Amino acid sequence: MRGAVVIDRWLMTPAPAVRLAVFRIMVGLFAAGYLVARLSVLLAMGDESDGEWRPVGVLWWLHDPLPQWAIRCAVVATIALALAFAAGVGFRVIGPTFAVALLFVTTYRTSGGQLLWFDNLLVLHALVLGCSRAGDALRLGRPLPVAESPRYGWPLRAAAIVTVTTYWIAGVAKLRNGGVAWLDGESLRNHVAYSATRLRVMGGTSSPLAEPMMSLDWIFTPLAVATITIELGAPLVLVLSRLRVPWVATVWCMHAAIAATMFVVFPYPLTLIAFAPLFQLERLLPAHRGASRR
Amino acid sequence: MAVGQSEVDRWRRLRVAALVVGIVVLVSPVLRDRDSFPLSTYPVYSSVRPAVATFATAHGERADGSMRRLSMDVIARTDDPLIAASRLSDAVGAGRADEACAAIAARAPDDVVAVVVVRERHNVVAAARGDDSVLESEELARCAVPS
Repeated sequence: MRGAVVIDRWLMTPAPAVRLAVFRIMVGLFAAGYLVARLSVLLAMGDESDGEWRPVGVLWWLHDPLPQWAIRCAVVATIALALAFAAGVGFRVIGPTFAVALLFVTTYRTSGGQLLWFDNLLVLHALVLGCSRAGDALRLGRPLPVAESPRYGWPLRAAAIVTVTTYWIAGVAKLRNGGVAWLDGESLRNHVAYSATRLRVMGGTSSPLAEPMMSLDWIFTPLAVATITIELGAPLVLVLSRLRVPWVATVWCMHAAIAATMFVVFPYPLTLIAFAPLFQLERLLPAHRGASRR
Repeated sequence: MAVGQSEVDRWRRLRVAALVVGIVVLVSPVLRDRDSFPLSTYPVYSSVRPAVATFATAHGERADGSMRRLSMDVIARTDDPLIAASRLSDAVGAGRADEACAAIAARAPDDVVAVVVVRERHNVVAAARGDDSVLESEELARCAVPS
């Protein structure tokens, strides 16, 4: 029972409504920007051929692809919902509706024959926020509430758990699929080389950094060990707050290195929004600087 | 007071149970070893990757017999190399190289008169260094670009 008390106290730590609202705005604006940036790809979805259509996740039952006009409507509606979500308008309806719409669009995109891992965290965070009271503060036309409450704290804790669990699972996957051999660095070097080769073979342009990296053989073993360490150690940042900044900085560097050497960009962590639930976001607002304790 | 405390305890147990269920759902792909979306095993870059790899790809052939690379959009209607490689590889694996070739030919640029679908083995480290990397190349399908 004592364990349950400790866990519950941690989960239900009160937080200012503004902190949750800032995270809502970040996620909403990121989603809208991301969907707009990927618009040409998203609007090309629909009417996939048999070889291109492999439904996954919540669309597992959709044996035939949807017509292009339907997907285009869904994409445009999801962008509008993302902006309304960021604005906090009608949040009790818009919140869950946006989360489901984003889940649909990204799942449809991932059903194109290859599982992708760029959108998972964003969607899971949107789902957590969508069923929370994230619209209570920083809402268009409403004054700021001053209350702190567990109802604003638990969604941030839940989103933080989602973030660190994601990285922990990625670390487990490397040990499970690659074993100790993954740590010797050769495999990581070959992944960098493979990505560069695949880009060239498929008609793209590989990173100019891939070539010089190949002559830095010694660097891959420490990079592999560091990668596994920061991924498996991710859950520690939930309880050891002083680890948060160095952990986030290290993970960000890892994503930046992946983007620079392999041209594989994970935009959600690179914008740091993936890690936002770990921090006192209200401090970003001038009126709240220095006011928060937790 | 006793009733109030038991009510508090009941809610606490419910919240902790919900948290445990949520975490189990998050890690369920690992327990089932089954990747999906948005719940995933995050297997990207997790395998032990050898230095030699096989790719299915497509080249364009000009009227003078010279070869040219085709873009990802032409090859697989995407700008993502992972999707492009996967789609073509799946088509080849399913014995639909001819079908894929015809689809690519329909999207081929003007200076291309024929499309060739090939399977190539590369030393990826040599390729990344910019050296000659093709160890083996096998033509799987050839088709003319419709005029």
